[in-house]
Order: sequence, then C-alpha cells, then structure tokens
Amino acid sequence: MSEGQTNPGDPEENTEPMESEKKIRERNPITRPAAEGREQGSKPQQEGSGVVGMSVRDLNAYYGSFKAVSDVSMEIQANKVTAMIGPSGCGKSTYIRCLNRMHEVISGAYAEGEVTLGDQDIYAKDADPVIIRRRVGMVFQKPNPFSKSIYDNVVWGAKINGFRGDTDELVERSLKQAALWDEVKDRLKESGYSLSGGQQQRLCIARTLAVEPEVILMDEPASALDPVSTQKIEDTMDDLKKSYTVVIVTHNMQQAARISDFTGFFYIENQGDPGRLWEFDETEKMFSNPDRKETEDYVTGRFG
Amino acid sequence: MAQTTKVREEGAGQQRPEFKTATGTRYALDRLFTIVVTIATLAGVAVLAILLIDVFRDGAPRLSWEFITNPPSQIFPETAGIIRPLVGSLWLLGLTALISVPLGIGAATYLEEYAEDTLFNRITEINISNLAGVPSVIYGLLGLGIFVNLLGGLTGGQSAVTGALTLSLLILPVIIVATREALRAVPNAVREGGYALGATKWEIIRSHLLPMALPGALTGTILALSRAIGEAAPLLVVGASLYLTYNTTNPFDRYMALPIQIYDWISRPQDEFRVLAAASIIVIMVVLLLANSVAIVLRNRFQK
Amino acid sequence: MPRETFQQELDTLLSEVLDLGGEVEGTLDTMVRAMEEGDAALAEKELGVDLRFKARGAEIDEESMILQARQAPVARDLRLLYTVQAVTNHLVRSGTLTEHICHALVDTAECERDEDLEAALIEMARTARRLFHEGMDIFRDRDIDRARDLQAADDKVDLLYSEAMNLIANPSDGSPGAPEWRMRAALTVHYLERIADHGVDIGGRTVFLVTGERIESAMQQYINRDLREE
Repeated sequence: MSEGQTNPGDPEENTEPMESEKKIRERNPITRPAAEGREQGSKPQQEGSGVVGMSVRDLNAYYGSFKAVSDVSMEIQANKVTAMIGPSGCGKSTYIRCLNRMHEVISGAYAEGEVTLGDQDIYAKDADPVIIRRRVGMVFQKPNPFSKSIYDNVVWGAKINGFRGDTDELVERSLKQAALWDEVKDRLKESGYSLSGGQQQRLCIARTLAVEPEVILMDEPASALDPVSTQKIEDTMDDLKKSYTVVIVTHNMQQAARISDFTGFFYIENQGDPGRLWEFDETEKMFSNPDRKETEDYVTGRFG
Repeated sequence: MAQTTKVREEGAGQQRPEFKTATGTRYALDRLFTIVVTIATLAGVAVLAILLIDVFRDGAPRLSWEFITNPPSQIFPETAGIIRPLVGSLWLLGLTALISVPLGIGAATYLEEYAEDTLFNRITEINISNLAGVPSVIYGLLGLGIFVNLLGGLTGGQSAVTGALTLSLLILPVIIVATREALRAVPNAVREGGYALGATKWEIIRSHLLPMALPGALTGTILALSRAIGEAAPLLVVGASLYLTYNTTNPFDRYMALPIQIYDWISRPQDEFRVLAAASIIVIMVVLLLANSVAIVLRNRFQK
Repeated sequence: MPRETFQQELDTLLSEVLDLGGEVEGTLDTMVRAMEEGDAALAEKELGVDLRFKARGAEIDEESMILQARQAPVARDLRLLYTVQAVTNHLVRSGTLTEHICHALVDTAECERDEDLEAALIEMARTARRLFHEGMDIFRDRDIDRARDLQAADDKVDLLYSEAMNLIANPSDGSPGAPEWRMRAALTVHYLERIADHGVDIGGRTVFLVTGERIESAMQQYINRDLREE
C-alpha cells in the first residue's frame, strides 16, 4: 500500500506533513465518505503527494429557475492544469464555482450532480461547504485582497481554519510559493492595497495556498493584469501543479494552450440554452486537431 | 478614413457644418452654474455663521466654571448654571449610545447579510426608512405608552433609562440605514474572498465587513446621536423633569436635559435668561463636538 | 466574418502555392514530351526555370512565417501553414529536378542511346508525371480518399525503378549508348523516382491538412506490408 492510498474517511496527507498542516486536515475532513459502490475506476490521485483530482458527473447548475450549466461530466486529473475555454456566457465561471460550492453563495442558486474530491462527494447531504472551500481554493478575476496588512492577508484564512503553528514561517512559505516573497519581504506590515495589480493577485494566490488546499480553482486570474504580471502568474502555475491540482477558466486561448495539460470547451447552441461541455481532451489535441467543428471554429477565432 | 484626411487638408479652424459650436454660450453657462452652486453653499454656511456668531457674542461672556457647576434657577439668573441639565444630557447620551448602537448595527448586519430577499423583508426595509421621518414627538408618545406605563416597573417610570430608550427608538432607523449603506458599500469581492478560504459568514463579518463598514456606520451614528441630544419634545412627553433638586446619579433617576432647559430660558422675557440660553447652546455644541471627535478617532483607527 | 483579413491572407497564400504547382506541372509536362519526341529544343526552353521556382518558394516561405508570427494560428490554420510550407518545398525540389533532367536532355541530344533503357525512362517519366499530377489534384481538391490510392501507386514506381537500375547495371545486347548518356540516364532514373515521391508526398500532406493525422500512422499496416507479396 503506497503512502498516497488512504482508507475512506481519512483525509489525504503529504508524505511529510508539518504538524500544523496535519492539524488543519485532521480537524476538518468532509464528514462522511462517499457511499459504497463508488469504486469505479481509480480516482485520479498522485501517489504520495496527498493531492487529489476531481471527478464530475452530470453536473447541472441553476440560478433560480434558469439552468446555466447542463450535464457536465469530466475527470480533472491530479497535479495537472485543466483549462476551461469557450465564448462568454457559456457557463464556465458558473461551472468552476460549483467545484467548491461557491455557486450556492448567490441567493437562489444551486447545483445538482456529483462532484467528487478524491473519493468524497462534495454535494453529499452531510458534506460541509466550509471545509470543502478550504480544500478547494479559489482565485478570482479581479484581485481582492483584504483591507489588512500583507502579513494578515496571508495568515487570516489559516487562523480561522485552526492553524496553530509558526505564522511567520507560514507567511514566508506561502509568499514564496506565489513568487511574491522577494518583492514584499521588507514590507509585510503594509496594506495589501499598496501592491500593484499583479502583486495583489499573487497575494491572493498566497493566501489561498496558506490554507493548504488540494485543488486550486482560478477564474480568469490574469485577465485584469498586464502582460508581465500575466507571465509571472503563468510561471507560478507551472510550479503550482507540482503540488496541487489546478483548474483555470480563461478567455485567453494562447494562455490555455501554453499552460494547460487538458482543455474543456464550453458552448451554447442557442441563446438562452444552458452551457454544455462540448469537447474535452488533451490540450495538444484541442489546439492542433479538435474533433468538433465548433471547437475548431472557436480556437481559430472564426466564431460568429 | 476619408474624414480624417479631410480634417487635415482643411487645416485648423475649419469645422464640419453639423457641429455648430457655440463655445461662448457653453462656457458662459458653465461659469454660471459654478457661481450658482457656490452661492448655494455660501448661503448655508452664512446662515450657520450668523447663528454661531450671534450665540457666541451673547453667550461667551456668560461662560464660567460656576456656570457649568451651578444648578439652574428661575429666580436668580445671575447665579444660574446648567449642571443638572448637563449631567442629564450626558446620561442620556451615554445610555442612548449604549442601547441604540449595538441594536442598530446588529439589525443592519442581519438585514444586509443574513435576511433572505422575501416580501416580508422588503416591506420591513421600506418601513425602516419611513420611520426615520416620523416626527419625534410621536416617539415620545410611544415611549410614554410602553416604557413609562407598560414597563414602568422595569424602567423606573420617568427615568433616564426611559428617556434613553425613547431616544434610541427615534434614532435607530437612522443608524440602521447608515450601517446598511456602509455594509453595502463593501465590495462583494471581499465576501467571496472570505468564503473561498473556507470561512463562515460570521468570521467574514467579524474580520472584514464590520471593520470596513465601521467608518460609514460611525458617521451615521454620530449624526443620529447628535440629533438625539438636541431633542426636547419626546423627552417632555416621557417625563423629563423641568426642575430637579439633585443630580442624576443612576439610570433610574429622574433627569433634566439641556434642550429643555434652553427652551425654558428662551421663553422668558428677561434678557439675562436669553444670555443663559445662548451660553447653554455653546455648551451643547461643545458636547457634540467632543462626541464627534471620539467618533472620528474611532473611524480613523478602523480606516487603515 | 471574424478574421476576414486573416482568411484572405490564407486564401492568397494557398492560391500562390497552387499557381507554383501549376507551373511546375507545366514544366514537367514539357519535359516528358521532350523525352517522348526526342525534342531537345523543347527541353531547352525550360532551362533556368528552377531559379524562378526557388524565388517563388522563398517568397511563400517568408509570407508563411509572417502569418505565423502575426496571427498565432491554431488547429486547421496551423495545419494549413505547416502543409503549405511542406508542399512548397516538394514543388520547388520537383521543379529543380525537372530542370536538371531537361538539362541532361539538352546536353545528350546528339549522343547514342540504349533503346530499351530509353523506353524504360519514358515509361518512368510518364508515371512520375501522372503521380505528380495526381498529388497536386488531391491537394487542390482536398480529396483524401484518392490520397490513399496514391500511396499504393508508389509501388509501381518502385518496381520501375528497380527495373531501370537493373538495365543500367546490365546493358542489353543491343547498343549500350554513349557513356555520357548512360550516366545521365542513371541520374535521370533517380530524379524521376524522386519526382514521383514528391507527388505522392503532396497527397500525403493533404491527408494531414484535412484530418490532422499523418498518413504514415494512418497507414501503418500498409507500410509494414511485405513487398514480395504484391
């Protein structure tokens, strides 16, 4: 039995967990494992890294009575970057927010279907959204640091999730992983707002990393940034996928082509229809020889 | 493309016939409007200045330590002081703040962050705004019925507590509205950022929303408290004393109030009483100024 | 329509390639006729034509690269540019080889020749012309079904090639022809085989353009066949 394999109900762990990290995970597993009989296939899981992939089956998302996303199924592999592309309004952002149960924060919005994180269904009746959101972190399109110091920005999430270890070390580690440490190490007490747009976004990445997620969702993380900041964020993603699973929504096709391992194309046939996953494959295939005409029209810019 | 070349060929000063620029008139109107709004501002400031100058001219000479510490008198204006109304008003200020601020901020937080968007809640919202416009004497009648008669045993009848409770009812809508506006002004991105880190609603409110909303809420609160301190009519209805032989030493005592005392002195024919009133007005304004300063200090502390 | 300018640029580039292809085909036709009729004067007309082909090929390459730099093509656009560059290369090479053969025809016009070998050469030339035309047609029409047949026709060229090489190594009993002529004939055999190959490859590239698959992988079974079984 390898290090990465666990029994149902145990949270996954790194090979050498820090005491503090261990505490967050132990204290907050999702309450009950998925029902028996869900052994089908091996859940995408990197051996020994404690990182899991996600499995989506027949996901539908609604805003009240309006169906925004219909029947999406996909495998999100661990330690890979999966990109979602597609025209505006096709439900990509809605879909990604269903992966950490942020979709239902909006009044009247809900989702149906099965989404497994590792081998646990996050939409199970007794699954705790608060815990799920720690395990599946999210970085938003517009950088949204808190109105606190850089230090407190990084530490706050960890503290409320029960972190009891060395906060200085946590801050340094997280900022280094987000490629921001060198730029801010001398001004950790300054407000998060004093940073540039690209730095703020990396700060948001750092605070997400500080709570030790397993999956990181990114909703167009670089679309509000200049090319240099965008390049830094893309370089960061290359490193991030070694330790985490990354899912990114992007309007920038070259970005999807550059950084992702798998790409999903979302599409709406007629106005008012729900968005569907039209094609999903390895990025190389999607950008050199996609199967479906609409996918090819979209990536070659011939849409409309 | 043809149009731009045309502009260049015709040279500066040539204009297309459709654009009848009457720049003279436009600039004149612009200047006129600037003058009009400046006059509007100056008018308000001028009236305030006249009032203040008048009051200071009359009342300043009368100010002295004895004035503040002596008890009031109908008979001997030379030795009359305002200690009892001052103490009463300070009690009212303190108790009203203690009651209305937590209630107001709490209610606003509930309405803004927790309440569902139901018909009942929308009706409540409209009514709260309307309540801010109800004449203050009506609140006096309400206070008389509930706090003096119905709950007389608890409140001690015509006591400072009753006065404070009545004033709290009066200013609660203002505080609620101001706090709600302040909470609404906090960008939703802050809430999303909090949820995405696996925080509960209360953790987000406590750590981010309330601190960010506090400056706006405090501004509204100060305005509300200032209004409360200046009220005479509702206090008369709930039984503020026109004459006391002792200083208010506990919340269940009877009390006097500065606005009532001012009203009393103003309505007397003798000049000396008018001077006393002017001096009292100065004292009331100093109290308000101090209260405002406290709020500003608190606001600045939270605004970093 | 979105990217209309880009689409026009692609269409223009493609038509330039087709024009070049037409010219190379024309030169090839002239060469074959010159061989059949023994008309050196006809062949002489085509001398130096390869310079023009090379220049046009370089232009097409340059335009192709600029399009790739500016327009970041993906999927079918990328495959098109990739195919355009490969096909252009095939065309320029074929044109150059054709010109070399014409040169040989002119130089050996007065030489004695081996009748059998000459017949074989003409047969090869006709086949090469046919295959080249076929490849260009497939590219023009994007008809990938014919492309698979074309891959199979490559066999015939291989057999002709073996036969001709055999004749060169072992002259027949009649007149062996002048040594100069014989040497040129050997080279010509090689060149004709190459031209046929280019034609077949053009057909193969078309399959990649349309389907994104390389014909070699699509036809793995065919490639691994045993030649002697045919």
